[in-house]
Order: sequence, then C-alpha cells, then structure tokens
Amino acid sequence: RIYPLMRVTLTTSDGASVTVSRQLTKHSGFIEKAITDMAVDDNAVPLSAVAVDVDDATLKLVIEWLTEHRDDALPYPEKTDEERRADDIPAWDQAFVQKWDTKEDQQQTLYAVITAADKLDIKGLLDMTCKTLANKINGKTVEEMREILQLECDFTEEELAEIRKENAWCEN
Amino acid sequence: TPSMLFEDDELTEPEGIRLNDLPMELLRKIVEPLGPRDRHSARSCCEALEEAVETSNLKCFDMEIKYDGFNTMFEILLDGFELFACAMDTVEFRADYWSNRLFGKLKIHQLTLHDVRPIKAGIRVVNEFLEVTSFDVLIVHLFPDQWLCSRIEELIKKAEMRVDLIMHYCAPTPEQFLTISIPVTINIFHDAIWVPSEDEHFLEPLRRGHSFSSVRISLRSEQTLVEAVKIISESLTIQGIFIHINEDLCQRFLSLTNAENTGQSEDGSVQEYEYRGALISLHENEGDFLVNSPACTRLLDNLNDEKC
Repeated sequence: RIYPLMRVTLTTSDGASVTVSRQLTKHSGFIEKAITDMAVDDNAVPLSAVAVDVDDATLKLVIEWLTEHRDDALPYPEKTDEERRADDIPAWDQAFVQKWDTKEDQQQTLYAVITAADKLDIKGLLDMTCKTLANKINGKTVEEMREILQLECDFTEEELAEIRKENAWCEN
Repeated sequence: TPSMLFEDDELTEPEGIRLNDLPMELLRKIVEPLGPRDRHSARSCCEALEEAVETSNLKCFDMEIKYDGFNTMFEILLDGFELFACAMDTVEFRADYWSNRLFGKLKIHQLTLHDVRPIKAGIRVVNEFLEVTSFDVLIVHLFPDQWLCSRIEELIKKAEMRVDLIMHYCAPTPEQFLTISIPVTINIFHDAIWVPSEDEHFLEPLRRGHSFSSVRISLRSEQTLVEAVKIISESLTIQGIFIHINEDLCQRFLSLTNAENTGQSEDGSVQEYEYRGALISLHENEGDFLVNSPACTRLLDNLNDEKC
C-alpha cells in the first residue's frame, strides 16, 4: 500500500537532492525496489535517500512527467503484438517533449530522458520517449535520419560501398 | 567519492549521451515501430542501428507473395513495400539478400499467397522468410489444376486464427477435402458454380469443421440444407456457411421448414426468412443462405462490440 503523503529523497549523480511523493515514485521499478531493499519503516518521512544515476536536470523532467502521470494505472500494461504503433502518444506528452525542441541540445535531452527512464525502470516514460524518437525518423532518408539523431557514419569505405550497392539494387 | 566520479565524467565525456551509447535493447525498442521502408534506411545510418534493425522484431499487417506467370517474375511485398522482386530463374542468386536484414522475427496479421507456384518450387528465400514469420490469417489463391502441397499444409498449420482458400474457376474435389488437416474456409470466386456430384460432398466438409464463404453451389435436395443447418448450429468451433443457391431449391427449403418470414427489403425485391438461426434472403433468381455456429456468432458479436 502506498500512502500519498509518504515522501522519498532522491540523490542525483551530480549531488543534488530532491524529495518527492511516493505517489510518483511508485511508477519507478528501480526506486520501489530500492525502498523495499532498505527494509525501512514505510511510515518514515522522508525515507532514507535513494541514489539515482541520473543528473539533476534530467530528474526534474522525469518528475514533471511522473507528476502528470501519477494516477496512471499500475502495473503498466504489457504491449501486444498489434501495439507496435508509435502514433498514440497522449497530447500532454507530445507537448512535454516539444518543449525541448527550443533547447539547443534537445536531442541530448531526449537521449538523457530515455536513459533515465530505462535506469529508473519507468515503463510508460520509456515507451513514450522511444516512440517519440521513432516518430522523428519515420519517413526520413538515411541522411536526414543521421542529422536528426546526430549520428556519425561509422561504416568503413568497403561497408559503405556494399550499402550503396544494396540500396541501388533495392531501389531498382 | 561521488564528486570525484562526477569530475572524471566531465573530463572523459564532454559530449553527453549519443544514440550509440544507448543499450542495444533500447535501440531495438526505438526501431521496433518502424515499417520496412524506414528500417531499410535506419540500418544504413550506423552500425548500432544496423544491428538493432537486424535483431528486433517487426510486426506488419500483411505480406504478399506474388508470381507473374507471364513474365515469370516473383515478388514479396511487406505492407506494400517490395522486399524482393526478380525473375524466377535468378531467384536463388539473390535469395540471401534480405535474410536477417530487416528483422529478427516477423509477425504479420495476414499472409497472402497469390500463387502457390513459388511455394511449390521450394524457393529458398520464401522458405527463409516463412521460417521466421508467424501470422494470424493465411489466404491461399488456387487456380484450376492447382492444389495444396506439403509445404502449404505446413503453413496452414502455422496460421494462428484462420485459413481462407480462394478458388478461382474451380472447386475442391471430395478427395482434396480429405487432405486438409485443419478447418479452413473455402471461397469460390468469379461466378463459378460448384456442382458436387452428390450433396454429401458438401456436407462431409462441414462435418470436418470446414466453412464456405461466398460459394455459389448447386445442390439437389432441400434436406441437405436442413442437415447443414443442424451441423453448423451444433458445431463447437468457429464455423459458418454463406452460400448462394438457386431460387427453386430455396423455395423448396422454405416450404419444407416453414421458415419464418422476418421482413423484406425497402423495395420488396428481397424477402428475408429465418430458420433455426439460419438467415435466408430470397432474391429474384437466387437465395443467399447464411448460418454461423454459436462460437462464430459470439466472435462476431465481440468484434462488433470492440468496433463500437
């Protein structure tokens, strides 16, 4: 049972501390497991600090998302075979991610949130951010994809020649 | 200490997180919703995405295997994306091109074999695809003098939901029906009329769990229809028949059963009847005869509810 007023302090990789409600952290498999492993009294307010391998700026974004999704049902529903679509991102989430587009390092922010969602085991956030990335490259050429994803081509000259050959064959 | 670690991080990783830094599991998750065309582009971006595409599962709506007999051209299409197209005599030369390149495993809703000849020819690329593919519905088009082979029988067993055999200008013989090991739905296209030499050749497939859809059939006795209704209404599986019969047989069936007249079309040209769950629509020259098993009716009701 999660008591809404219970709070837990999270310490970030860059030394900051953030205290949040257990109502938010219940969506993080990592934090919930850490609290269980501590075997502390659930009534302790706040709970002993949980160290998370996420920087302060990214954790703030994660908490913003968790606050909006605090009432989402748990456990997070498992995807079926038919649910490979990426066009079902809720409007609030779309606006949440679009805010980063004004940042110079918006792609970095997206990668950082994906990594944080993975480390903290927040399935809904991980799903949403991966779908966002898939949508960004949907329908794009190889060059456009590289630009969006800020990728360096790491194929050798021989591999590139092979890819060009394959692509020419496919286009034919 | 944490602060020292942080200083080290600053020195060694000034550029932040890159796509290539994400674990392969996450890269797979990112490429998973991409269709075949985008996967083709993504795998050409960098080595990490190439591996993610090659090892992630792809889910598509349909896969079609076509064969143009006139030009002996053979094609595989995935959600309309042409994965493979070449002349049959060069097919083995290019066979390994797509194998393990666009997906680890492929899940499709519907696999359509427009022609069984590429399957019967045992072409390696087809076998490689089908080896890593699972599907719900299998649709097989058959033309005169064509029938199933052991490879297609294997595919029929693999279909997780339904198998449709679409017969063009032909109908299965009683002997052919005996070779089909699991229930299928037979469709007969292009106004061809199936004239079984005995009515029993229509009833026996029903007893074996097969269904008929859009089949124009010539039967001798109205008792055959009564028996068909009995078989289907007692069936425990998803089974049904939708057949077109001539007006004379339809009238004899209605007289025999005293089927209830349940209505008519607005212009009065179609009369509708019901007999033990079977729905009969009598047109000018023909009767449409529809009956579904209880399991089939429940399935259709559920699908309608979901649509609503």
